[in-house]
Amino acid sequence: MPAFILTAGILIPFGYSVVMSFTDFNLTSGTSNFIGFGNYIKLAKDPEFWNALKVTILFTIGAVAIEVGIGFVSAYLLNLGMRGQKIWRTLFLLPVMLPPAVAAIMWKLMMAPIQGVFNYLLQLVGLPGSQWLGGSSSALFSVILIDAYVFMPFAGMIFLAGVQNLPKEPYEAAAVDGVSSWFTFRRLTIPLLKPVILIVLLFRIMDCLKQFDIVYAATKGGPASATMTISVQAYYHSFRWTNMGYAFAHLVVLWAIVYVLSYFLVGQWRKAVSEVHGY
Amino acid sequence: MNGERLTLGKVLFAVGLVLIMLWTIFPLYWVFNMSIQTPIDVISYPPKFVFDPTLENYSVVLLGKSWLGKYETVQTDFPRYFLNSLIVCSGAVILSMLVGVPAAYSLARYNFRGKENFAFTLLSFRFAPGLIVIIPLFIIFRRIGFYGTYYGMIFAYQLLTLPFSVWLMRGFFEDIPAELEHAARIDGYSWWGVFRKIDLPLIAPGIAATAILSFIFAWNEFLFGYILSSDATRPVTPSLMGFISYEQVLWGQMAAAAIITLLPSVILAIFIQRYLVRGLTFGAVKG
Repeated sequence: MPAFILTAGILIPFGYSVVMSFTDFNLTSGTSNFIGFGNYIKLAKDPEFWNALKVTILFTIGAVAIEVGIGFVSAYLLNLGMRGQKIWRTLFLLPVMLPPAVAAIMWKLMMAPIQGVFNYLLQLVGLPGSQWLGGSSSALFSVILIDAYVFMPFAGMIFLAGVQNLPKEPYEAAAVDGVSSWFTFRRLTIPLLKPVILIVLLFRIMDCLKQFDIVYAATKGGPASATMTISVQAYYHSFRWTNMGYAFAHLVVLWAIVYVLSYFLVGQWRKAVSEVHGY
Repeated sequence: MNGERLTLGKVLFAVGLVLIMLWTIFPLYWVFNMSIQTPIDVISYPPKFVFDPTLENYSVVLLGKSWLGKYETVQTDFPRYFLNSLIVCSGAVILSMLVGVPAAYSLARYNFRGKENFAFTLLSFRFAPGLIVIIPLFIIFRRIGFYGTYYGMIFAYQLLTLPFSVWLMRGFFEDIPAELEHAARIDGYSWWGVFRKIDLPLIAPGIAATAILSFIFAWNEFLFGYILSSDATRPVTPSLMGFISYEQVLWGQMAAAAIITLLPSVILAIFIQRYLVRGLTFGAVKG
């Protein structure tokens, strides 16, 4: 089947990466020698790698928390009946379809410290401006904000679909029994939405862990290493310093983390789906 | 009492909705705003909400400096990048449809060894870090002379769109009850006749939606294009990075370029809104 051949186009580079991560392959010199776990041992001792891991995890936690939190609230709001519902929903999901790199450039324009509109608006309400992407302490938060801008509607949209597919009967029963609405939400809505919540977590966590476009387009990993995620770090190792073997080791570790996590989340999701259908 | 609570709720609701809409719309509005300002307006402080709009940024970006000759610009060959994107994305989508429709059909209808493994492998590509595939492709392409060619680019982009298309269309095929096919077979249609007369008409909207979504994904892709293209084949999304080093002077043009680049994705997305949830979750949530 041709599909197998074309997907082999992925598997071959993939295997190539794994194999090469055990070599000291250098693009400039063109040499590659098998060095066993050398790259991985170097990785474990490399403070820059640990920094990149920390940045990646912080980025993921921050972005996913905002996206899930605000996404949930917006799904709730958009689900209430109102005039012009369709238009609201369309406007709401526009950012999802933007090229993330373009969104990053847009935000970069707005986050400019001197003429940027954000600092102007902050100043209007009497708050001090920020260095945003240029400040070593604010840069990570700024890229988290950009990711949240693009993907919050993704979470909101999926939550909305989940809320709209909720069965009616359990709620009618709860109303008859006179249960408080908080109790209904906690014991009925959350468990019923569990599969949808897990899907959002799965997609967002995986995407954030490997995030490259937004970070690279907005800060290129800087200032210093404040936004240096593992993907961006691997990019530098490979295309700036032509240290391919070492870059591959970064990527294989990242991929392993992603794979284990996604395996776990997919398992949880399957379980949740079968539980909900058991209702 | 009840009435009061209702109005309070309504106010909170309205405030919440406005905040969320500001969140999603304001950046688009603002960048569009910048894109129709003159170089002087765009860097003025405080920022201008009211000004004389100009299309100059757009004509500079689209037609280049030589044509206007008014003020400095980067020679970006923006129209060519745009055309490159069209060529590469359409190529990848056509290829994934030609290969993907039969693959999706057989995944949905037939049982063969390793079927679920094959399906899961397709899905797991979605979660692999892009560079792990791109760097080897870069090395291999350089060796076999594919680097910077349209063929190489289409092949690379297809790696992105094909797994997605197969996965999504499989779901659409599974939505068609197999009994329908059996009934048609009993009525004397050949297998091909069934596929053409029963399946294709039913799945046509699904295929169209899949093709459009694939196109959007390919259009939005940054990393593949950034690394695997030469200057002659660079797609439009990665080409925007070319403006960055000049950003201090060329804000208006950057904004205009960003708007032109995001336009196709946004317009297409509005058409297939109905399938967005399903598409973006690889069919896991049927919106």
